[in-house]
Parts: sequence; C-alpha cells; structure tokens
Amino acid sequence: MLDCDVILGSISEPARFATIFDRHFDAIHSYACRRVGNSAAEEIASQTFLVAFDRRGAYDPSRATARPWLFGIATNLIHDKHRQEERQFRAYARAADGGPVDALEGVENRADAVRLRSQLAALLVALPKEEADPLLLFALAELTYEEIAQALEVPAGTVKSRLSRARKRIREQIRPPRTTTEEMPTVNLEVDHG
Amino acid sequence: MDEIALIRALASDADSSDASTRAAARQALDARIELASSGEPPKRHSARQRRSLALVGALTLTLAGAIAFFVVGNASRSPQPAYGAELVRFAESTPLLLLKEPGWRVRNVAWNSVPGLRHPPDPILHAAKSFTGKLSFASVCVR
Repeated sequence: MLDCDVILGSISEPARFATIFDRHFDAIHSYACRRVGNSAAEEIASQTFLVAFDRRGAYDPSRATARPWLFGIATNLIHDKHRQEERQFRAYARAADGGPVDALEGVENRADAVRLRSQLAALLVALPKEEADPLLLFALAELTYEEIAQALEVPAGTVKSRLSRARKRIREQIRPPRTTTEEMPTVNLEVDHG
Repeated sequence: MDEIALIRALASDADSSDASTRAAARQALDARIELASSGEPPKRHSARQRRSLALVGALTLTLAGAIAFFVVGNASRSPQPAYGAELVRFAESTPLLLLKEPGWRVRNVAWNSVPGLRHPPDPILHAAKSFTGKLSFASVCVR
C-alpha cells in the first residue's frame, strides 16, 4: 500500500500511521544523525513523526511516497539545532582517522585527506541555508531534485540552481594539496596580556 | 573530485539508529496515536480552507512583523556587531586555539583564505595551537 493511502487511512484510523514510522524512521534518523550528530538526531527523528502525525490531515494525497514530506519536516527541525550542526561538522573535520580516504579521489595521503575534510566542513557550515539544505538532502538523504523540491516546497528549477550554486562554490573553494608556502592561506593573530 | 562523494565520505562516520532509539521514538508516536484515537479524528481541510488559513496566517505574520519592526526599531539604536568582532569571538571560543599562558586573549584576527567563509577553517586553528610565549603579533602559514 502506498504511503499516501496509509496516511489518508490514518485520518480515521490513527494507528495506521505507525506503518509510515516503520518505513521511514531509519532513513530520517540517519539523515539527522549526519547533520546534527547522534544525540540531537534522536530528538529530531522522533519529533519528525510526531509533527507528521499531527499534520497528516494536510498531506497532499497526490504524492505517493511520504519521503520528501518527512525529510522536509526533519530539515525544518534541524534548523532549530544550528549550533549542533556546526559542532557536528567541526567534529567531522577533526576526526582523527580522517575517514575513508578511498572516497577522496585524487587525495594521496592521510594529511591531505584531513586537510580536505577540514576545508569541506568549514565550507558546509558557512553555506547559506538555502543552498545547504538542497545540497545535504541530495548528498546525505539521496533525494532527487523533484523530491527535494517537494521537501523544501520550492520549484524544482530553484532546487537545481541552488544545488548547482552550492556545488560550484565547493568546487571552487576546495583546493588541491598545496606544495609551496607562498600559496598557503595565512592567519594573523594579535594578542595581548592583561 | 566529486563534491557529493566528498560530503558523503565526510559524514560517513555518523552513527546509525539502534534498537533503543527506534523503540523510544516509536513509543512517543504510539502515545500520540493513542491520544488521537481516543478523541476526534483530525479534519481534512479542503483546498479552499487551506488557502483561507494560509491567507489569515500570512496577514497575521505581516501584522506581527510590522509591530516588531516599529517596537524593536525604536527601542534599539545600538550598532550591529562588526564582522571583525565576530571573528575574534570565534577565535576566542574555539578550544583548538590555545593561548597557553593565563591572561592572554585574542585582540584581533585577520586571515586571507578562500572568500565566502565566515571564519578560518580548522587547519588554521590547528596551526594556531603552537602560539605560546609573549608574541604580540603573529603570522602563520598553514599547511
């Protein structure tokens, strides 16, 4: 039975909504976990289904799968946990083992992989919400453009352009491993005592 | 290098749900379902009703926004925090930036890295770990 039928049925028989939970909880939790970390993800995933249950009367029955709807609710809840999201991405950047280097094509050693992770994490934290949401729904939740458009309630064309802008920004700002100190970014700190 | 693959690799360390997480969330939903089962089922709003509700909501928000604009606008004339101040706050608050001697604090931070970032990326702050002693001004290249 399609999600839309289950949700419509749950209006008169609320217990049927548990099927939606059983089908989608793991995906929602996993997405939240990647964005805000495990402890905040528990709350977000749980809240997502409570909010969805309360709003089931407004569900658009023409949408067969509830996935985009649920990811949209979860994304809105994640916005309230912006601090946790920043912490989570900084934690990724600092991860001691540098993560699976194999996935980083063109990165030959662990030090470069760690540097790349740090750059990427900082870029993701700094992305405007309008670009970060489509990008992370695409990358982490593996939604299609159309599904992201439904989740964020914006036209599919807007999703495409925002996603393209975010990807371009990352491509341009992630630098290949540097070899000379002249090319490196510098930071100046002025400190005083007292 | 595919940035989507990079993001997936970056976030691949995150924990996945365990049985207890799932059970707790399911319990919360079951309680809500039970509550709903004992009461009236929620009404399905027609498209016209939804439009009317949205219109009322938008008007309410506009009105609230206008009131907030006048009240807050008149009440606070203090200047907004500057970009530089935000950078200093960030530098002081990060645990990676260790000024080891007591009493030292960051007065100013300037950096020249990729545009569009609100603060230096972590490698810079890692490098800043080595700042000790009595420097009043320092410059560091980050590998």
